[in-house]
Amino acid sequence: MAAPAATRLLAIAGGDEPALAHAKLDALRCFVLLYGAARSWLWLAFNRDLDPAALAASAVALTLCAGLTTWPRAATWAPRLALPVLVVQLAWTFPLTNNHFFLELVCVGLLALVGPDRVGERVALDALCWVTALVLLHGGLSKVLYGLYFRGEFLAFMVGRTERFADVFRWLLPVDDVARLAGYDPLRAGDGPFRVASLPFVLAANLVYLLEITLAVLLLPRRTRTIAAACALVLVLVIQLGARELGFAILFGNLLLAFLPRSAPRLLLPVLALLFAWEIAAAFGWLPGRDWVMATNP
Amino acid sequence: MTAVQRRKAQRKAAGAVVPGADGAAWQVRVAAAIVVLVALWPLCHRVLIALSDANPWKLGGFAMYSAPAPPLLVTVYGLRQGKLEAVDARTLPADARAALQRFEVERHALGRLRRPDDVARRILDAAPELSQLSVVVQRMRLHPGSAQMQAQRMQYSYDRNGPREVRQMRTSTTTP
Repeated sequence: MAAPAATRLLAIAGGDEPALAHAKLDALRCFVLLYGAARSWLWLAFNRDLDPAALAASAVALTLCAGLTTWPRAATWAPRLALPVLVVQLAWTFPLTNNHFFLELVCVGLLALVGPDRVGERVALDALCWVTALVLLHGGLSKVLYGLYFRGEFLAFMVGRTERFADVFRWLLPVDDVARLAGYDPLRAGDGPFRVASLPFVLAANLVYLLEITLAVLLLPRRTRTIAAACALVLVLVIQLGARELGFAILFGNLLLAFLPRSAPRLLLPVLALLFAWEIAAAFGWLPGRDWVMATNP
Repeated sequence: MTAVQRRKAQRKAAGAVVPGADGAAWQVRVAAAIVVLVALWPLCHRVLIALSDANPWKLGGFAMYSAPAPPLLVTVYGLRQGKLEAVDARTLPADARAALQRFEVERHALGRLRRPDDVARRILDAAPELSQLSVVVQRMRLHPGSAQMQAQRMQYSYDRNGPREVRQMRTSTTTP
């Protein structure tokens, strides 16, 4: 594909003015590397399968990279230095690597494209916006392709298997249905059906993928971008009521902020840094909340 | 123009800033390639999952919360003095036990892409009294049509005296 044509296609999802693109990309660079460092420390606290010394070394390296993003003259080097560390972490965890990590890796890969002279900032930001919209789209599309949302089968399964989903959907389901779903054994052939008669529950299940697909598409046109990003942020937060994956919610939420007409508020990064610091301290048992942090960072 | 100057000029042209794009040509191409990969891989991932029974939550397909992935049931059977009996993993040496545990975890993620050949070899090496070995992997899935749990079993058989590879592969499906 010729570069100008590719540039125009990339700009469909972004196309911000250079100054705004610069501000957004600076914020995203700081955030994504901070996120990667915090995630590595959480892995060190909770993961028993990886070599702790190597993991600690990678966490230190990513923390230094995150620190580097605060130094304007060296900030663009931070993702370039972090990328090989992430590739090594991928090699350690594959094939068990979770999707959040792949998203983080793609983001750092795109941020690493920006040169020391800051050439390529708009291209990187446009591509990041595309990736965000595509991940949201595929999240919805995969629910359609697996065919377990049309009558709420997957959510019914999760209600029966996990307390957190049961808590969220209890108000849409009769008590008998919740008890019936909880009584099925997922390891016994023939157990089921994981279906319920509650219309609001089935509607809620269908609304999930419909919103994901619709909002992903609406993130692209400039006219609908802001409202779509705001709605997607709300959707991600609502989904977390059941999924409770704080790490992914924070990562994806920050990527969605890139669609807003202004750069993220300056206060956001220090607040997130404090949140990550508390998560790490809690994970190592220095502050209360270890179980909560473990449950919300699977 | 010398050869060095010519190469420099070529490199400069290859990395030239695209007018109005605020990005060098190579940056645009790499960014576009990454976007295309993110656009297409999840669709390939769906096909891969269908063909291999791998875990939809893994391998970067962004298909988490699309289908459940209950734990696998892996059972090893050995032929000992003409009698087929289950091999108790606790009786295996540490390296064979570790290989079996690693297989369970990796098989859960990779599906049929991960075969138990190495596990069978280690167990046959550790238990010389076994003449044959079968590794049976049972995977549960939520069937979209019936919304009931369905078991899919695959058996890998190994003969100590024969080639250490799959001799017979059988998939049996328990349809509710």
